[in-house]
Amino acid sequence: MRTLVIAFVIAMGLLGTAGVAHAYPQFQLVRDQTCTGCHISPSGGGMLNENGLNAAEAMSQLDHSAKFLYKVNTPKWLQLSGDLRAVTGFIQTPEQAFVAFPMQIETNVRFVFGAFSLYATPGLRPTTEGNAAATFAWAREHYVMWQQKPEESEGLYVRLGRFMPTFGLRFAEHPMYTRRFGGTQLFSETYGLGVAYVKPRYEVHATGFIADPIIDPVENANGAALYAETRIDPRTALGVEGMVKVTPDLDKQYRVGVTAKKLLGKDLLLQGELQFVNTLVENKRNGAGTGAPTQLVGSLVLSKPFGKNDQFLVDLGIGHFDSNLRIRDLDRDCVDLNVHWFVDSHVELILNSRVEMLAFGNGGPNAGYALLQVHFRL
Amino acid sequence: MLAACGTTDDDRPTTIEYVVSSVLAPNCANAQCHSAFRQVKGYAFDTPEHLKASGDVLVTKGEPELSSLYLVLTPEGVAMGFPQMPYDQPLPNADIELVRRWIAEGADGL
Repeated sequence: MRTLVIAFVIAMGLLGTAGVAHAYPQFQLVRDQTCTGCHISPSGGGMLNENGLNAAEAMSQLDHSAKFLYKVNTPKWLQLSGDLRAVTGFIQTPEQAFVAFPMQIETNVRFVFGAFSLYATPGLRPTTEGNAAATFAWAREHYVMWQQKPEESEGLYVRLGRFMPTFGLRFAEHPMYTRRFGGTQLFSETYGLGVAYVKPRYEVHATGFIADPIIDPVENANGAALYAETRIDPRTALGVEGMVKVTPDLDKQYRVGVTAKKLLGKDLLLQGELQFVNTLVENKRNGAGTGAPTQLVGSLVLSKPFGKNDQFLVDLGIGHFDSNLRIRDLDRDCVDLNVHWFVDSHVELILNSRVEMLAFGNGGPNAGYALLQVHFRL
Repeated sequence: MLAACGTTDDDRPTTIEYVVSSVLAPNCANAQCHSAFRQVKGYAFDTPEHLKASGDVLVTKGEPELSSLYLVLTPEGVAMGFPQMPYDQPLPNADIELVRRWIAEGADGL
């Protein structure tokens, strides 16, 4: 099975990439209080630490080692990992289409020098049309990190380099409204300085960032982001967030929001995020026709693992986005159902499905998708 | 599920800055499509400058029915052979109408 999966994702990988995944906030409170309980990065996502590898092994269907390529031991100063993802399925927008495309072909490498580490994710990226030869490869994230307590998963973290500003719930599913319209859309990693302080009871993340000066970026903005979360008890977390983005010659965007997570019962997690966004559109030509639309974006997700080893994870979510609260019929709503199957410590199959309605009740178009995703962690 | 919040008819400004900021950049200029990062078909819509670079090809000022930027958003355009855009999720009818009005009124700023 391992051979078949590897052959499939490598074959798909020849076609390019179209997406990546980040964190699994569904596991917070259920398995650990913080993202750093399982991940190297203070914001979660990406390379797993030793506890994360143990968790991946314990919760999968088949009892395979979670080490790099199942069995590779590396010296303490070197950590290796990677992610290969591909997806296929049906999408209706409202035109109907069958799709199949690779999502992620990335390696993760981390060099550790005491409290300092150098982390990079070299891999393939979607090319810029007309300039494919120079834009097929990149390192989506690359940064130097200083960690106050390198042997622990708490304390002060400082990062300098290219990474996603820490903001919001940070779901892996980038079509989720609070990512797509919530300030952290796909590939919005950019250069910045991030400071995080993580403790079991609370964490604070502050990031200052600039538009990528090296490549043509997805986000052209300079700005800053703040996210703070407190665990008022082991089953409840509350967060606040704010972000300012300034896109030269276009607009200034101000974003504030709240997050909440509540563990209901043994392992049923309810989490939500709500943001208000105000955008000041600039017109430096003649000052006419500017505007200041206020937006609302939110998501609410109920998650539950099940199976003998918790090898299945089901997410049921709703989303709402209104791109201008003052104007009628600019709202959209969705219902998401995602089912994850952790086949072994490296292989994950995911069913992603969505039903979406625009101007609900007022005759807007409907849309949706049902996609089967395969993820192989190197 | 939340009901529609807005109560006002669409009086949004028809300038290139507003159309890019509120419609084209958030819906079309994502990582897979018409961002400067990807530039599918050579088009990027994340800033007014990028839209201006391809504006002559995509927009016939005053004539939305002759402008591919508008036609790709409409069933009429699809019936004429244009691809349906955005490909990953639909655009509100009010946003399509804003693009139509902007072009019909002369595509201010282009």
